[in-house]
Amino acid sequence: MDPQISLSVALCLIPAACCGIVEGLATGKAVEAVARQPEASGKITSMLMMGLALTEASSIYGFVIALIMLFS
Amino acid sequence: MHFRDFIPPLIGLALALAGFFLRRAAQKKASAAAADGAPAKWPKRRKTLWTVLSVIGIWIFLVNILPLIFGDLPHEELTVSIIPPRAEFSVFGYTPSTTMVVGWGVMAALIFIALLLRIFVIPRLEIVPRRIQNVLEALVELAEGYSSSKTVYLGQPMFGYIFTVGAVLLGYAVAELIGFRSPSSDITFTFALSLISFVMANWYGFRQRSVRGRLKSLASPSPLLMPIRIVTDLANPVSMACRLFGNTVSGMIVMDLVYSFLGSAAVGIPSVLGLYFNVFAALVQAFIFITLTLININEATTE
Repeated sequence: MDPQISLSVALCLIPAACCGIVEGLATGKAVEAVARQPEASGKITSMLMMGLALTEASSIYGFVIALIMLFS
Repeated sequence: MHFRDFIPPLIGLALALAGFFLRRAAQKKASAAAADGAPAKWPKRRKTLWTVLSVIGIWIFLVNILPLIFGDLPHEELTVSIIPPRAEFSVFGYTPSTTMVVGWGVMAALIFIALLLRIFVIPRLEIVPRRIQNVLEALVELAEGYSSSKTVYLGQPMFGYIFTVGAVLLGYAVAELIGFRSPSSDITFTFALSLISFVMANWYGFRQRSVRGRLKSLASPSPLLMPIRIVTDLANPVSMACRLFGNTVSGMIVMDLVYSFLGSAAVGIPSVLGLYFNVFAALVQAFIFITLTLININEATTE
């Protein structure tokens, strides 16, 4: 495998690290909101799940490009 | 096969039996203590300890006895390909991929269930629902309520399509549990699904308002933004396809790694991990796919 391919695959996966930090922040805000008003816990959980799945898409785009680079 | 080969399974069997009998003794002591009125924390914990011991004993027994019965697993390299392998047979001169055959299988299973419901349940509908009709009504109400809450105009015609997409994606998750390669790990399948949603959104958008009305709404905050909004609209199906594909393939890769790492010790652990990676992720992504379809349709028809 060329060093060029290895380097570009590694660069493609940087969004995954940023995704980790940002999703942690979002979960922290959700926990604060539930602590303020425990009755809205169900709505907050479902909104959190939807937001996390949409944010994770950015790191998955990078993962897909890295897979395509590795295997063809 | 020496006698030495049989020692680990016998150890496992001994552990399992010891755990079972000690658990029964501890359960008697725990129920006696609860009848007395004393707090039954420690007897319950002792019972849990013997339960865990017997589960570990069963695991050791199974792991060691299966290679003795069936022979050792060959140690093969871990290969992952994002393009699925081709099937053995060919239909009219075209060889389908294995994911296409699994897709046909899921379609056949869903059609079979629909036929069963149509023949046995629908002719006997009652005003006050019981049993299966209850379940069907709950599902239909859920789908219709969700699609009506997300779109302003087209809640009613859309919820049939939404229900079908949800059922198909659930069928793909079940197929992955059984052992086949799920069709959502094939980027052509996911791209086809998102293209259907894209064409539906634009078709209803052009029918609700005329072509000029829709183009005018695309230029709505300012005509300078129109190219950006067109590109965003075109990027929606691609992003939906990539999201579903990436989640499924990453779950598949993690489960392949777990299986190749454990080797012949893969008795109980992959089912627990597979529950999270294969089932939970697929269901959440199916829900996200449906929500994004509804949001696209809403955006194309209103405002």
